[in-house]
Amino acid sequence: MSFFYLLEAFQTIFSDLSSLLFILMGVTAGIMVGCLPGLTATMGCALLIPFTFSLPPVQGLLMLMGIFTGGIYGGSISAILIRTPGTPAAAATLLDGHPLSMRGEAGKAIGIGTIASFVGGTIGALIMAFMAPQIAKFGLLFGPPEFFALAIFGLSMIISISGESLLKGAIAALIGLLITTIGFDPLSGVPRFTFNNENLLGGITFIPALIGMFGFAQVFRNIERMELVPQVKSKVGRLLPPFKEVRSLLPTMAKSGSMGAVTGSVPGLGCDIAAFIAYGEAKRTSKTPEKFGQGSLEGIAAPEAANNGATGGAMIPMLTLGVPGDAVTAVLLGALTIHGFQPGPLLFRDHLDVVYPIFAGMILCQLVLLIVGLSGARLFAKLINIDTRILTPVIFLLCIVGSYSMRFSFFDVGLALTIGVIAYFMGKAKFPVSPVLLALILGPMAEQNMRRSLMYSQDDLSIFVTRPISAAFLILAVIMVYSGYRRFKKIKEIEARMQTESQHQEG
Amino acid sequence: MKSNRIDLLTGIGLCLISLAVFIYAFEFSGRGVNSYGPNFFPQAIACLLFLASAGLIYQALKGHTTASIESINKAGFIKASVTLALAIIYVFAMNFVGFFIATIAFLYAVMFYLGQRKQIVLTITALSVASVIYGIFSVFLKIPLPEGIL
Repeated sequence: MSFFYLLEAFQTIFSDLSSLLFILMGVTAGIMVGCLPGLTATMGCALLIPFTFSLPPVQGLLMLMGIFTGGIYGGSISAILIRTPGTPAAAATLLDGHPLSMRGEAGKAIGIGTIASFVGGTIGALIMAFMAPQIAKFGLLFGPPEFFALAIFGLSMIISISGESLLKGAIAALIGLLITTIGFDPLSGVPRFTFNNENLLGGITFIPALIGMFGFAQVFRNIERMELVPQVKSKVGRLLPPFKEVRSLLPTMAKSGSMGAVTGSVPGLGCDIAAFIAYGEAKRTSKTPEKFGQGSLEGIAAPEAANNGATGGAMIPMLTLGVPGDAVTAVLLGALTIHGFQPGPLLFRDHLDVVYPIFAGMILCQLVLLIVGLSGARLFAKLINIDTRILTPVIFLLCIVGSYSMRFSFFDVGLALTIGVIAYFMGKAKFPVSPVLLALILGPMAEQNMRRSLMYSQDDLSIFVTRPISAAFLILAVIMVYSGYRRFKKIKEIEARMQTESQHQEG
Repeated sequence: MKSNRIDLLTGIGLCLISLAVFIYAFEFSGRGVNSYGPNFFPQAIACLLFLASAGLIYQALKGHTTASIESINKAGFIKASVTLALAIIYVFAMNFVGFFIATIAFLYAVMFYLGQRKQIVLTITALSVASVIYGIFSVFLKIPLPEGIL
């Protein structure tokens, strides 16, 4: 059944060559954004959403997904060449990528990385195309109490994206939740926290908030960093790896790709964690584990296949339930909403004409990635050498124009700049920004569904625990927070032990 | 540098904000369909925020703060602030001289300030980037950019 729809979607995309062009543009732009350190896939999507406004929804989405795929892949190029991951997802790739590059085999490393990204990404996209409709079918059983519980479950994921301090992550999420209450209350029409400013009646709009948090704040950080870190230059060398080597790596790629897709589909885990998990697993099962960290080809194939596999996985909860898996999918969710589609189980019932082209597009993105990646790697590597004194002002300009273009409003530009300054200081005080973004999306979902449920149950709070699915999500949320906290404690303990040990050695 | 002092101040600030939100939110009540009206959610969040910030204050006072904060590089910070100021001037100037001219001037100024001194590079980049952005947004996407009063 879904296979038939998928074929039809391919036909739709191929019938209009401009769709392919948008995928090509998206992937290329994504790789460019990804391989430049300081520009993440999240930022790329945020900056390029305004470019998709006037496109037909499907084409706009195809382009954004291209940026997502390309961005996650592009990060590996700079990880291999200059030991700086262009995106957090490529952090595991530099462990083996950079040693190879030191030996003058950077080209081979990038080549393997590209093929692994293609294999992993395709597996991830296929898993998405066949799993998502099933999950959406299950989601059709959900009523307001279930969606409330799901939103709480999604918010409990914050524990895994909080970075160094759980408390600060929680505070960031709570601030995000408070921000979502600005503007008209959708259920009663009462304006809240608008301070009689008509620009705030509709609430804090998504795009300026996004560009502020991930665009402006990053630009400020990059400008500050110019004082500290000199730019590193890059070299590539021979590109295509011999076929025999690729063939021996195929099992690793396939396994890591599917692991990545599964990891990515758990909200909150995302592409970077998927890459590290796959790297660890590949090392554990490898015949030559001692080579890991010294420039092992498996050590590149595994994380690269996994992080691109995770892109497909992360799309599953976002599309089927409206719960984004990580920051980039949160941005994509925002983009879907802007184009007039509300992600969730109903999307699969009412808009199959959008859903299946998304699946087909995701698969095509991988193919385009392979072609563009292999033919253009040299060019992209040169991008890393672009003068940051030229690049930064251009990105700054794009942030300003991007925040203006949503509502043609200078208020939004000011808002984005303000949020950018706040986010910059939050980063300095180690308050993570991603929880705010997650809260912006899940906040309205939690509030409205909670109040709808309580209207339905006539103020009886037990409605959330007596319905099985809702109770299950709430229990999962508690388990998630608890296990996240335990894991966090453990990491802290290990860190503390390592510190005392090194002090002993010095003493 | 440990972040105790900053965490303490942030915690106190957030406590005050959550109190203010809690009290201010009483204004929204009365018109809800059920007893959980428009004030309920903000007030519930404000309570949680109060608790969390109290936790932050407690940690800071006991010296338990786990994360050390990033120190601010002074020269870099000044650079970022000046660039921000240039951006604010740019946004206001756009309304007077129009998008195109303001953008060229902005790009030129920021690149120059950040240390790019080659006139040819400055001129070509400013002109071409401004034209491309103007072309994409105004012509291709049909987003009305400010034309200015000139």
